[in-house]
Amino acid sequence: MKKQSIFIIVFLVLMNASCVQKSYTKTVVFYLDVKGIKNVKKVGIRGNDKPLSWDYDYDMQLDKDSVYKATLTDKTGYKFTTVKFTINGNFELKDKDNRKVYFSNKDTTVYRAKFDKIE
Amino acid sequence: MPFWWQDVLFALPRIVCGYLLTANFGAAKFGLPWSPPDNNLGLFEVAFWFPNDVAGYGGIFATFSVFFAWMGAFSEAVGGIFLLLGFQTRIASFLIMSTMLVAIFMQQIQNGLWNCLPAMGFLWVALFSLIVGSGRFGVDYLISKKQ
Repeated sequence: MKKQSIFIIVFLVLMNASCVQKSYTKTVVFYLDVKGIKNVKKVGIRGNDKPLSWDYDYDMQLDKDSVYKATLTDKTGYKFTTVKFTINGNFELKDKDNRKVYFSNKDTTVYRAKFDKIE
Repeated sequence: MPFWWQDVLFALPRIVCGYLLTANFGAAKFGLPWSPPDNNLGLFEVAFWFPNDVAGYGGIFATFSVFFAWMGAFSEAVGGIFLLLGFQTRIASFLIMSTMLVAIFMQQIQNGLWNCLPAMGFLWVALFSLIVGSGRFGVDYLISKKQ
């Protein structure tokens, strides 16, 4: 009985001492350079966290000469998000790991990339 | 069990399931020293997204989403290591069994039977561990032997 009471007290203390991971609103501005790639009709981004999905593209808009841009905001507790870019619905980095984008300590992170190249 | 090798066979699924629960499924959503650092989880914290998932089950799960999320993640992460060690085996088994029943009937069943298989696997192991305890290869056995 005493052992059970200790177990329950320890359990309740641990439960109260912690709880839900803190989450923050993070914005990532993606810039994708597609210079040198022909027949670019549609540039997109896919990934883990909302509003992204691995099943369909989130369209990127042409910012300036061959550079596409997308600004995404989500509430997260993680230090990173994972993405891949697409051109005309075709993934970059085939059979390679996804891009890991680490959030900066500020609210907004700027991520610049070249299609199908990890630098 | 009459023979030690029967205890070995009996302990194997318990140890494997305990390991998978605490090292993989649980550690990803509950803060433990071996949780992935990039997941940014503090000790005994439940991942930010899990209460939202649990709330999606509706009913009492929506009302007490944080409690059920924390309990579910705790059961997998801490219950998993208890199951692995055979420590407080029946309490850990009960917690894991309850979590797996929720996972099967509230989360996976609408995705088809195939998606229920991992949770069902853990459920069966927790069920027989709940009934028979840790067996010879567990901390519970050493404690009860001492007494």
